[in-house]
Amino acid sequence: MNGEQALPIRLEQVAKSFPHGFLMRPREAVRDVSLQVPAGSLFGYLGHNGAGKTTTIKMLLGLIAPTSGRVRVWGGDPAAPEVRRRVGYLPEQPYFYDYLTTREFLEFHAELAGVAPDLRAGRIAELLDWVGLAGVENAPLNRFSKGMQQRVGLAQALIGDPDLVILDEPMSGLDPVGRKQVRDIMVELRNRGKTVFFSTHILGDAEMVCDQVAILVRGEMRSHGRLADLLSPRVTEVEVVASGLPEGFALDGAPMTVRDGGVHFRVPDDGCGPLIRKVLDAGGRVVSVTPYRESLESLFLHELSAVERAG
Amino acid sequence: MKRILAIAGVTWREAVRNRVLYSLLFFVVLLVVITAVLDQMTMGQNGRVVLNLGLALIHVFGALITIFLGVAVISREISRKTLYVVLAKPVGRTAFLAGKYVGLLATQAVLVGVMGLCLLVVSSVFQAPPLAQYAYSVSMVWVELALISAVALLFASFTGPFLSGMFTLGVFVIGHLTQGLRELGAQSDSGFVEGLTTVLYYLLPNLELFNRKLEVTYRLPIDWGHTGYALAYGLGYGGMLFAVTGIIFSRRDFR
Repeated sequence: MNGEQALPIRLEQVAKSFPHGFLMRPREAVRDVSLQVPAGSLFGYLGHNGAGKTTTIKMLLGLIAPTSGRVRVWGGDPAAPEVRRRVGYLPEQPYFYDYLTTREFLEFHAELAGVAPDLRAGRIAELLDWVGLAGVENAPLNRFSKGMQQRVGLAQALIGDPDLVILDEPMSGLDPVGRKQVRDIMVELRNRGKTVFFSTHILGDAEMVCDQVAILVRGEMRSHGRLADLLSPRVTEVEVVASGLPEGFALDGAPMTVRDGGVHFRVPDDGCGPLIRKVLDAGGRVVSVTPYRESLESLFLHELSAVERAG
Repeated sequence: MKRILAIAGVTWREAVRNRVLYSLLFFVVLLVVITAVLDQMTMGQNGRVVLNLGLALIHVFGALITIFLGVAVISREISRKTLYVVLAKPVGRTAFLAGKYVGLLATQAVLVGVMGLCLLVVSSVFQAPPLAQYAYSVSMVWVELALISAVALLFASFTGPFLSGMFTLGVFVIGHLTQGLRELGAQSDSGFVEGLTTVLYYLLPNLELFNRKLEVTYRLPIDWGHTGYALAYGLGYGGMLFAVTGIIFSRRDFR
């Protein structure tokens, strides 16, 4: 196996344009995206709605051909069916053959994925249990809520025991319990040695589970790498909560809000010491001190505003 | 092959569960009503008239259902995005089309078979048709429907359901007129008209080749030479349509 075959995903200067409007002028949905996803990682592909995440994912599955650049999945062109043998996919809006029962649907996908007939029943039962749908094997899919359809979609994505799982907005439409379950499943898949590539615009979910992320803004890759490398470990801001302060107490330049019986200050890291001293000198009491580091959200907003500023 | 059959199986289930086969009930009711009316109107020719009308009904009814199903099996997959998860599996696009086509053929075989049996029962009340000729005629309707399905798949692979349906209906109607049109064009003084009718004749399928109703109603012997030619023509034309559909479908972006 050469280096490229060991790599689940490799994009090289990939661009995709779609014809737009009456004159069918090309409009770029994705431009110059280069990316490598290492095996065994849990990779978050982040971006706002319309950033080009789904277009990229469809190129990874051969559903869309890139206008330029090179897309490789396990070293091969995903347009070739045999390359997709090691890939599982959950679409953003999982529409399925809703005239089928859950079992019929999963058996159909097991056949497509090449699962041996004698292994199918066990695999289906195991997956339904894992996604929290045990006991609904014979229920028709058209009776399922959006959240339940999302879970069935997850089960069909995993039916062939793929080495690479591509999930497009897997948490959308799920309640907080469902979202946690999906996060847990993604982490468990990573722990089993699988590569998980998922898109989301919910940054908190990504920050909780991802090893690596890529940030896409208006079709352009802005940041890409390990979270630990992308986010500054230094404290950017400190929140100090104080009580018992005298009337008219103020601190030059520091925003101050009063709530829950306390006065909340936000100051830079180096302003924390002087603030606490001033509070104590004024006869007040320090209730809590909370340091804030750079979050994925602040990084994302920074990248977004940089693109907006650029035009 | 297993994947093609799995897709064919799902296509068949879709047709059954979307109550397409309920249209058969409509056919039976229509047949019984027509027979009852004719029984009052015709003198001594009831058997032949019922058979003629019944076969024509199977033909038109089968064609309309085929156009509806043939267009829907692809258009609905695209509009509802159900094909995304199928094509993301190790399934080639041509294999997907082949599965859909085989599923359609099976559905049509059941539809035509059941309609044929109903007509056989009803017409036998007056006079039983010659069985061999009857089975032959109904089978040729099915072969024609197979060709119309290939036309419907071709149009559905690159345009929306309404246009696909209209185009396929147009091919069905003109496909029965190309021979006559060509003969008419040959008698025309205009070189353009003659050229146009000749192009239409070669471009569109000659569906009259599959119209074998006379063998039943006039108890004529089956012309196996013609049958061989018609089947080879259907296979060749259908194969060509399928190849073109495969090329278009394989190059299409599924946004």
